[in-house]
Amino acid sequence: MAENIHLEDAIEFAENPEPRCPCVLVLDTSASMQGEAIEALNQGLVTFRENLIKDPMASRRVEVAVIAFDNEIRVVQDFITPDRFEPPRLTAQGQTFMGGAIQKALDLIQARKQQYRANGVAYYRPWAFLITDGEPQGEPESVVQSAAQRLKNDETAKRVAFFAVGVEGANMETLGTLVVRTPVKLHGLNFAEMFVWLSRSMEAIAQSRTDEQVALPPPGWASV
Amino acid sequence: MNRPPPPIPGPQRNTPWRTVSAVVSGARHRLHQQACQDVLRTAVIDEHRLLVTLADGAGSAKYGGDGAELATAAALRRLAGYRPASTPPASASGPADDLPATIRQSLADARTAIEQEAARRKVAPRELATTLLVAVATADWIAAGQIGDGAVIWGEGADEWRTLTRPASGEYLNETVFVTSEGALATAQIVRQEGPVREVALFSDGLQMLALKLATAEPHAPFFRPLFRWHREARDPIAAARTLDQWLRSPRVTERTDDDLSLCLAAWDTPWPFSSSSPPNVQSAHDSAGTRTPAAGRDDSPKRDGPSRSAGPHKPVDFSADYTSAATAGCIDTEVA
Repeated sequence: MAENIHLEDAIEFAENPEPRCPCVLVLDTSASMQGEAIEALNQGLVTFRENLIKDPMASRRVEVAVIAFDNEIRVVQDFITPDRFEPPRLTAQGQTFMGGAIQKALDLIQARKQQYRANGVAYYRPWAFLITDGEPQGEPESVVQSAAQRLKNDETAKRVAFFAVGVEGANMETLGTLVVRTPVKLHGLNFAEMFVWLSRSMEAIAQSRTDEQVALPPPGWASV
Repeated sequence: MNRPPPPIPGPQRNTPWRTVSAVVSGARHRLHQQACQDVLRTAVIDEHRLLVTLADGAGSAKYGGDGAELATAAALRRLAGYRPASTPPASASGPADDLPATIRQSLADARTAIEQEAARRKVAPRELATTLLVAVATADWIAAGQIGDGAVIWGEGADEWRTLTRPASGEYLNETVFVTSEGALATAQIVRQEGPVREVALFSDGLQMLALKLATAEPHAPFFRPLFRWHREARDPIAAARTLDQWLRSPRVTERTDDDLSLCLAAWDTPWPFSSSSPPNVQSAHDSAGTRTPAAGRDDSPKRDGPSRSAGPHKPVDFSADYTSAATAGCIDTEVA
């Protein structure tokens, strides 16, 4: 009779909310991105989604948000799971309000964590991914400085893992002073490969367990 | 992967404790050909003290599985040496009892064992990072210690269960504490409860989303009720271990988690029905002086090391004569024949 209890049917699982793995893309849409670059970036976002939805765990756990910045800082997409993420078609214009965009990304992350906590949702350390082909432009210097300072504090407190990718023309030196982690330089307009790598990294995070930050494998699409 | 035949978690003999264990490697680990990094050991001392140690080696650590082996062995060795005070304590504030100290020392021993092995290999101890859960239970009391995630739960036999030690994670789900982490011993959970103790379960983090209500870390009764009922009614320990193993591989489970999974169930007062022809599974070497000697240089449990597990010269746990019986479960990567 013992073997009559069929474990697979009998056992009920606890209904816990799916843990979340937030990722904010902070994308430069200033005038210099016009043409090929913005097209490649748009296509890269499609690739990103396609790769995330292929992994069942990632498609349930990853949450993507998109911030576009030029003379304006817009939340193009608030946090959403990959299956419901519709990649935006970004256009390029104006200057490069990078400091404000970094602040916005950190705000968005902070707010999302509060929502997670209020709803008893477990979560992974949020990632932010800044992509630019320039440097801060058109903003008061103080805005940029306070963004850099806040980012340092947030990294130290492990509130976020913030990565920067420079496209051809980006001022890597300035980027290096803004973000804590060493920025990487994209080879050509290889956004597709970069986003494949990013989606794999998000999948890995959604599986991994560690007592320290996941080390980045050396990306094939970029160099330091 | 061509692994040696899997070790079947051995049943405990000559004791009212009925245990069944299973350790399976997660889908993701199999996909990436990683060795399973969970190790579970059980033993019964003086026929009535149940010991369980369970470690989940960190996937981010190069030798997490080796760390798990060392930690479970060192902790079990310490717990096996524990002898209750002659007067059984009636309450937590009862007669002086060094059980919590022994639990703490078992965690410290695990850390020391890892540090020594790391020094021998000339690697940082965190390359052997692992969580660790330990439990000692009699029918009258239970005590547990825990570093990292996973949980120890227990019940008085009334179809209700309580969490003894719970998943310790920081703000982020994937960041936990390991035996090798700074301050791990100082922040370890060490808990002791008076019974009656009728059921005990230990599991690693792979199952905690399914078995616990995470908001409160309390056991999900509809998870444990059928499991313990099945466990008490099972007739054959080998078949039961196989059933548990297969259940942990079933789609309903693997859809929800692709981590390594370990589970040990123990129930008091339901000894396994052994036939007189059953071969003994006691691994022992006589040692009346209380100092421990290796099991006559012989470890008859099958090797658990997978091909990607580094080949460290592990000492087998020295199961000394005062063990009623002992068993180890490593990963079972092939179908149980």
